[in-house]
Amino acid sequence: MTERIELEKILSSDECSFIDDYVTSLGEAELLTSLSGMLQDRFSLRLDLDPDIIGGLILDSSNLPGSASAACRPRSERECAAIVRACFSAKIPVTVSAGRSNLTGSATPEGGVLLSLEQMKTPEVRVDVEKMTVRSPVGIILEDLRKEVLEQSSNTLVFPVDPTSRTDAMVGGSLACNASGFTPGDPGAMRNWVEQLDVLMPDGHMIRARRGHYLSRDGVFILSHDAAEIVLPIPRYARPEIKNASGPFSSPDGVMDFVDLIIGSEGLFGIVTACELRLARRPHEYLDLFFSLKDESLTLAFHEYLHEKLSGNFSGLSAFEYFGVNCRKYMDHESKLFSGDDQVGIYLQVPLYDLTIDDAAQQWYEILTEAPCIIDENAIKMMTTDKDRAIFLEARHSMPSRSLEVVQRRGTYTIMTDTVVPRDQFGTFLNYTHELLKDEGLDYLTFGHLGDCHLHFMILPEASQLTRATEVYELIIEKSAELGGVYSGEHGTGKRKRGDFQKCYGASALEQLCATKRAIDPHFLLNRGNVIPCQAHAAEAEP
Amino acid sequence: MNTVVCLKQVPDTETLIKIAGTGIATDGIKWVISPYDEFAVEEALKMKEKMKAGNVTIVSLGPDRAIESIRTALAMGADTAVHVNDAAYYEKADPFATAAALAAAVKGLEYDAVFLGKQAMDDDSGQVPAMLGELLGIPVVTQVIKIEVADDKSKASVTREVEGGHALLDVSLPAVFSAQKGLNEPRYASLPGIMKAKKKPVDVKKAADLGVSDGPKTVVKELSLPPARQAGRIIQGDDAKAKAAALAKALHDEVKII
Repeated sequence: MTERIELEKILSSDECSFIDDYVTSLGEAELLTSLSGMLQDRFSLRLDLDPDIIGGLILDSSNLPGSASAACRPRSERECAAIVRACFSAKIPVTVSAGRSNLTGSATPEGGVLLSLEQMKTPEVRVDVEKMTVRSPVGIILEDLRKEVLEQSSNTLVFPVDPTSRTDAMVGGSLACNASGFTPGDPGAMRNWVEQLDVLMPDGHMIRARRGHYLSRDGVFILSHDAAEIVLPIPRYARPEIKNASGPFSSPDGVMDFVDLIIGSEGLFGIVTACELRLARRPHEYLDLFFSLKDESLTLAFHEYLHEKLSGNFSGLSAFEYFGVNCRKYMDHESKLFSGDDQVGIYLQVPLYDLTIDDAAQQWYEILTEAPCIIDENAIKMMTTDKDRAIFLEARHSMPSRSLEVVQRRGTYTIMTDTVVPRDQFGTFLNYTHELLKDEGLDYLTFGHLGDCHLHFMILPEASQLTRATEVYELIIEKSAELGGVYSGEHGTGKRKRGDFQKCYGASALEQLCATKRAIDPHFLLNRGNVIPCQAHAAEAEP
Repeated sequence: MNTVVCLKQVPDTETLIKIAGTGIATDGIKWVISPYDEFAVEEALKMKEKMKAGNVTIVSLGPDRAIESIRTALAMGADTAVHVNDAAYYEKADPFATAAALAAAVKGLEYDAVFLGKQAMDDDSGQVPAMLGELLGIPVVTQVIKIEVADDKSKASVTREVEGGHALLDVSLPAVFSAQKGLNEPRYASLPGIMKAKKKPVDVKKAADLGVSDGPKTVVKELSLPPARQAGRIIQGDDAKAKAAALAKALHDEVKII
């Protein structure tokens, strides 16, 4: 292992010089048009300037307004390197997008070139059954990769990260935001499974980083190429040891794997062009249980009970999900899932490797019926077929879409928290948030990842409540930070939550982030506006 | 109120069907309760819960594997089951032979109503409910989306779906009801229900035990799949105008939609 990283050339020195010289010779007015011609002639790469084409690519699921002057859809790392190098030389901001499923605007450009990775289909997906790894391109839908893994391994291996957006999100975006799904703990997030990343740096050089190979020393990496050296300081702000997608990875002791710097950094430090991921053994079956409870106080009691019962380790579960306040109101198939007047529900999924389904059912029957929160045994539903599971997922997915219909009728939009707090503060945080929302008379529902103390409060404001609802969101974020939590467990920061980063980690954390960014991207061109507020680098951002 | 539910085990609706002779290849198929029969099970259970008395008996004609679906229905809350497990009979059974075996099994039971799906999801024949009623000598109401039974169990008010609307009718009991989508939402089996289902009694019968000797009245001569969809075509070229013109021509000349 070493802190010294030799940058690899994707384009030859001549090609880089050609691009640099070409760009220098251009005036501002003709810049993009000329660049488009040059990229086509020299690299057979299309840079679209047609507003209709660009318009179809700039919106992501955040619905934040965006704009771009050009769009490029490279098909290989070489094409990627050409456009990135050209923009770096011309000081044109580049925003990377792919599946555009993110909710925070990280793929929404605020000017410059939009670089869509959706055509990055090489290298082809290749599973190594013996090593239990898969090599993957970034321009593939995550669910398609998961299916391909099953197929190539003859249903023996699985890629276990399963975010709700997995049928839209691409592998590249999932790495950029450290996506996670139902599985509690570290195994639920992308970071846990990454073995290697091919990372295109903002100037068009490549780093092929294998986990464990490049480790920073005394808080820095040394990047070298052509006899030049760049000192790359890493962020060192303290991160709570909870599920966390709030800002790039950091390491207070100054030691960090380069792979970890990139995962979850929302494209601030480089563009992942390919990856190798570890795979897990596929369970022979899953035990899927849903049960309802009278209210949230019983949920907290059950959470404590199960934590103790499983010795503080939920990693044997592949889902520990919660359907809280008002979920019944906004959920399809609710009568199938909830019993009587019960207001909240819990979904547990247990992967079975050695136990039979009958043994597991017996084991969990005992665990659940011994719980102090008194679970009605007839309220424990077991999903035994794919159709049962599909109906449950339909119910789960119906909540956001039905909520959206409500706010559209109200002429507003949903405001959703993504906070995670430490387990010992979970009850305090929930009580504070419920009281705050009720005092303000705001309509909302609560659901999320109980195993990680990671619940979403989805606020559905009336038009007259919009300003106050935004202020309430800020108060919730401040409370989570005060309790040692973070503002994002899975959605990331993007542009929508960049103000939250400083609230969570403080001003010096933002300065550290800027220092890392400045070392490799002095004009803050790559994914400008993600995480780092524009005023934090206004002077450097100007070409 | 005692009810009987006739159910059929069919391939999961997501199954990719492959034809083998005059049947389908069964390798790798996941088997489930026919979805319309699930509505029937749910309605019988709801009726028992509402009346706070009675038994729900499952009757199914099928091979060994059908026991899984029978157990699923028992896990949902049914009390007992009759499994007509006779490979020689089942393999040749058409809708009439199926109805004959089910009727023979039902005749030996006490019942106020018989429920089943309006059709099985595999062969889509839709004939068994009417034949079953005829063979039992009781009324049949098909495509049912709502049932209300009188307190004395002598009759039921039934809403059935008809083309473009609904029909409301009264029927004396016992009767056969075929379930249409919308009748209810089938429940998930409960965890204790699944555990208890393994211990619930299932009476296994051969066709001869039931005195059924009539063979099928129809024979499947051939099965065929719909024609495969044609592959998509990408109109090549760099000139957008020329590509748009080629697309318009193809939509006009080949697809004939403009």
